[in-house]
Amino acid sequence: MGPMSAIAPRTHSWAVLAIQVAFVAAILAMWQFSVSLGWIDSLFLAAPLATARALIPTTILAEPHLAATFSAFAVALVTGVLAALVVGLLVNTSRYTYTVFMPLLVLGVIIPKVTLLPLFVLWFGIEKATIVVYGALSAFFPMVVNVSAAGQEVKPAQITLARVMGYSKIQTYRKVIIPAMLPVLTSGLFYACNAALMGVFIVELALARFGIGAFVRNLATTFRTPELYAAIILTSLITVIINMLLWSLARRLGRWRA
Amino acid sequence: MPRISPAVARAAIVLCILAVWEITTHLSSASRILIAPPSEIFWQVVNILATTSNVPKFYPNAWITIQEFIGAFVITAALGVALGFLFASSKLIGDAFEPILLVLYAIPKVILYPLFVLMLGIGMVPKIIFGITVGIFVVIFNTSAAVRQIDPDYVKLAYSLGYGRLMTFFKIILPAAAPTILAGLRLGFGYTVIGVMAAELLVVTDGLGSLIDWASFNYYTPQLYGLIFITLTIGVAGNSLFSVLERRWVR
Amino acid sequence: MAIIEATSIRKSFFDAATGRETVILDNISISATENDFLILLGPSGSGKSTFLNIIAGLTPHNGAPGQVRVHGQPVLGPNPKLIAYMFQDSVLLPWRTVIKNIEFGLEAQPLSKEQRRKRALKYLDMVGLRDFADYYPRQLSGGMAQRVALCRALALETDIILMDEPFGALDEQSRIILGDELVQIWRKIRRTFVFVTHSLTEAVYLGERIAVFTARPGKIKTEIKNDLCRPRAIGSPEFNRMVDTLWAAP
Repeated sequence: MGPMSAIAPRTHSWAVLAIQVAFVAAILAMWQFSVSLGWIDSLFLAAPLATARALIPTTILAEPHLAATFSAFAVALVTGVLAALVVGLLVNTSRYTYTVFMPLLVLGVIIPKVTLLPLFVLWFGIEKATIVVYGALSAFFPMVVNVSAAGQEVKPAQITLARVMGYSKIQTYRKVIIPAMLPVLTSGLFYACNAALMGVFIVELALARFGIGAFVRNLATTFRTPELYAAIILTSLITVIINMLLWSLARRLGRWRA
Repeated sequence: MPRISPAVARAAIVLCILAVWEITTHLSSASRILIAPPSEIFWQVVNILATTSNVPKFYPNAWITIQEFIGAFVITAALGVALGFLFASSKLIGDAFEPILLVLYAIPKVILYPLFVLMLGIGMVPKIIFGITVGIFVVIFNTSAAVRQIDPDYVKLAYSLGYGRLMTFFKIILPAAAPTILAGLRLGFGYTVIGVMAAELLVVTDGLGSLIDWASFNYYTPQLYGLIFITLTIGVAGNSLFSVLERRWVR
Repeated sequence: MAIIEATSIRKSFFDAATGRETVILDNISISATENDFLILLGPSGSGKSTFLNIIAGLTPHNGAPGQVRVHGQPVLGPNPKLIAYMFQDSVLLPWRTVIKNIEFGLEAQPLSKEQRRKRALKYLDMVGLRDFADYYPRQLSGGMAQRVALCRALALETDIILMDEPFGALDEQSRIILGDELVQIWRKIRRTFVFVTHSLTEAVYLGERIAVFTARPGKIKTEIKNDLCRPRAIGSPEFNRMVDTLWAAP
């Protein structure tokens, strides 16, 4: 099991479905009751019904913020991924460069970049620039590690094979190098996307005036709890859909692997 | 060309970067508010650790953050591994919860943080809980993958030799699954650290995050760099610890 | 007329650091005719694979006075229209199915999609793997993978097929079975095979002519014509006599 593993064959699908429905129902019930029975102040925990009613108005309110967030996310992701492709391919020029640079790149992934946020604010201010730069950096490191690793997937024998078959350099890239790299690249894209999204959200939550993060923060600080829950559900839905799309893409491209 | 060992090459690169950083900071007219030279940062770090800098209450705050790291991680590890085993041992439960887990994993936990603060107040608890939510999924996924990949023949062999369930667990399942589980714990630690630090910076109360915020707010740039460096080192140190454990185990 | 003609081939590496020249091949002269089954036999390190690569145009030799000619033309680089190559490891592209792997060689040629498919299927039939056309390489055994590699080489419809210890990684039984199939295919399609091996048995079993290499530096010790009747029986007296001849060659 794992985010990339195949879904096991549903030999007992009815039982599985029953458990899932029961689980979700139990959670919803607990949620509803703890508010209705006053266990938890509804100021802090909105009831499911109140949340459901708030969904549509909140979505409408959220639209400009969603647009701001996703435009920032798109720019951050594209920048980070493109930079990662360039650096990753450079790192792969030789086995030596790979061995030297890879641990440094991995270090970049390990470092909790959120700690650097105040520095970014210092340099770029509380504006779109910080959001995009931080998001791009968050996407860059997981992607570059994957691009570098992907380069190692190409076996020298396959390149020799292409030579023997009379392929030009460009054709070799198209027919051998890129297909070999594709599964690891796609997996990298998956992580980069999530990282960029998380990065953009963090900055917006912390400082921004516009964007979903800011929207959610405002709802929280003004104690508009049902709307807060609705906004969270809305954002989660969009993120989950993006993830599912990427994940199924990654699976389809990696089908030939053992 | 490959005559210099990679480790030496890497050290050389890092030193070059530090040298360029140092020189350009001194030469350029960039405001000292934006950037501090490595030499100054180094002294700041020394001062901070010796409590001779103006950073208020460094050790108490550092201790709070470290407690949060450890607390969040211990619970993440225990709960994550336990759930991982649960999902791997029963195909029914595993299949049932797989989509649920994937959906929960895909939700950007960061967006939930205001909710946590709303419900749990400020202080260590929401930060720890947040760290757990960020780190637990990797641990669960890795643990259940590790257990599922164990060759069932080994388990059958153990039973046929008369091993009880407990012995089989400790002598066969645990050693076989350990490397992947350790890898999951290493990643989980990393994510937990990110979660806790994000929480500290989003709602500033205490801990290293609050010190960083203090330095940032007052434009004490060298201290800011120094504190960030110390925090990053703690995070990387934890990660390295796990890497070493992993390598020792794989042996 | 010789289809492959190599004269006085020399191949060496010059290490600038130590100033030493390592000679891999020393004055190799050999030729192959049409429909020949030439074996390059020798221990590891005797340069036979390097020599094969030189014929294939993958590696250059030291130059004049040595020369390699195929169909009278000097070899300047890989020429998929004249020479097909089989590696010791099948080197199938894992992301392509069996049939697409065979078509991989043909995509550089001016053939239409239908022509490629037709050709690929024709040769798949020849190696008996028609049913596995849509399998992925990871689903194949070692022997099957090498059959696909052979098929890929055959599909290029070149006059010459070079093979570098193609059965080296397989078990004994697969080697014999595939060896049989190879000989049958050779007799059917009438092309020039050049086959590298270190196995005396394989050399005697498969080859029409056997060139024996020595190691360090690689020289051809002797060339022997193998006129045992096919099918050849491993272990028969004539077979063993031929093996002994190879062993004892001056």
